[in-house]
Amino acid sequence: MFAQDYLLRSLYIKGEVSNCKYHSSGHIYFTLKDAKGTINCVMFAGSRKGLSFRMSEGQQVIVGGTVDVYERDGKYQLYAREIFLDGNGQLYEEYERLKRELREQGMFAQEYKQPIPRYIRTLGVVTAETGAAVRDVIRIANRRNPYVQVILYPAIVQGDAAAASIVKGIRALEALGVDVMIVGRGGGSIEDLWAFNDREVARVVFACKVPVISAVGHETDTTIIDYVADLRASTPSAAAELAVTDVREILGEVAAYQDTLEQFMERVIERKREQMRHLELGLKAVSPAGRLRERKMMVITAEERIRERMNRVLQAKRHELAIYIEKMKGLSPLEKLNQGYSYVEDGDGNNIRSVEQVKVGQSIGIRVKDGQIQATVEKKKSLR
Amino acid sequence: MGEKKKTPGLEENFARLEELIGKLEEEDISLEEAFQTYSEGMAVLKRCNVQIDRVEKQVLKLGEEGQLEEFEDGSEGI
Repeated sequence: MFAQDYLLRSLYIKGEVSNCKYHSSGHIYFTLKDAKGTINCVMFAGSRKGLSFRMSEGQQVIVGGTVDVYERDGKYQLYAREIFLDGNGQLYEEYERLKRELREQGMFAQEYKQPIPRYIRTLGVVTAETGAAVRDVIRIANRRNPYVQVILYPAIVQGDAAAASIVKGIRALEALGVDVMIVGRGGGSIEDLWAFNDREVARVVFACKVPVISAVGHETDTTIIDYVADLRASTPSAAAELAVTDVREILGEVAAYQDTLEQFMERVIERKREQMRHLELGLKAVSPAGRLRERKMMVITAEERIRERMNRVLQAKRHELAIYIEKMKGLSPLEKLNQGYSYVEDGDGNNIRSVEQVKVGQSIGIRVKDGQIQATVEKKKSLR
Repeated sequence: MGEKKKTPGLEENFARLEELIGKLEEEDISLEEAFQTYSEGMAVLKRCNVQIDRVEKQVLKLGEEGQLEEFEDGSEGI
């Protein structure tokens, strides 16, 4: 029945906060009361973006949400979607208007964000001289890198003079030339943080040549300078973490560079040495001593070859000669005698080859293998 | 960022070291050039170490007149 009622689905109730409990689950339970009555309220964790301040007892607020029955208890309660501080309605509107205006001017644009340098030597801080914010920043900056010079501009961070003081601080640190600056303060009510919603502060942060990290209040607080700053940190501690790189990391990097440099140099030298060895070999090959040795070798091989050739020729000739000797042997007349032939001559030593050469009664000599026979021709007969 | 041209910061020096290492990586770098590159790298490294000038810094406070004074943390016991 309730759920169908259009009016109950979206209404705003004004009253005073009491029994406010932030549950660990993120839900917030509280009671809203006025002179006439009370209503139980709950803001679920999922609706927390509708709340931009920390609720506390006795605050006058306007709660926007839905009324429905909580069936277990049979009671109706208000499910809050957004909560504003009453009397701040005007402030809130102003905030929204300024935010819109600056956004339209492009002051929130990502392209204007300056990168936060990784290695800084000086860190400017614009915040109150006393309080948790400055101590947190100093503690964390020191822990991460005690060699970073922190320079504090003690600013007034709440009240009427705050905006002008913050503007002055940012300008002073910018003029001094710090590497990065943190602008912010610890948590507080929307009025307390109001200086960080100031148009002039926003302009100065935007125009600042030094990268600015905003660090206002708690995680849930968002102020105008958070949109304008180069980087938004949820708290001053977080800002210090973002601003200061751990010195051990930097020293490690330097050492790594040194290692790499040395390693590469060694590699170059090794390569050069290699090249040298290579060239040395090449040089040796063309040196006079090398050439001489080479020539000698050539002479020696040539000599060997000639000798070998010569031997081969000699052998061939010797062989040929042997064959001739054999042949000659075959042709020798003495050899013929050996084979049973004999040699006949007349008294003057002429070889007798025809019957015409002798007369009957003539004395002839016959040579045989082992001696001579003296004979007389008794008769001769021609074969023709 | 910085409006005035100052000596290169650590980031610039690291970038330079990258460059030098890249140069040493080249195949055909001459030995002279390699030595030059190396000694420049060593000089840059030295500068880096100087830049991380390892002196613990007192927190300074910037006064109204732009003078710097030591910051005494009023709230003791951090």
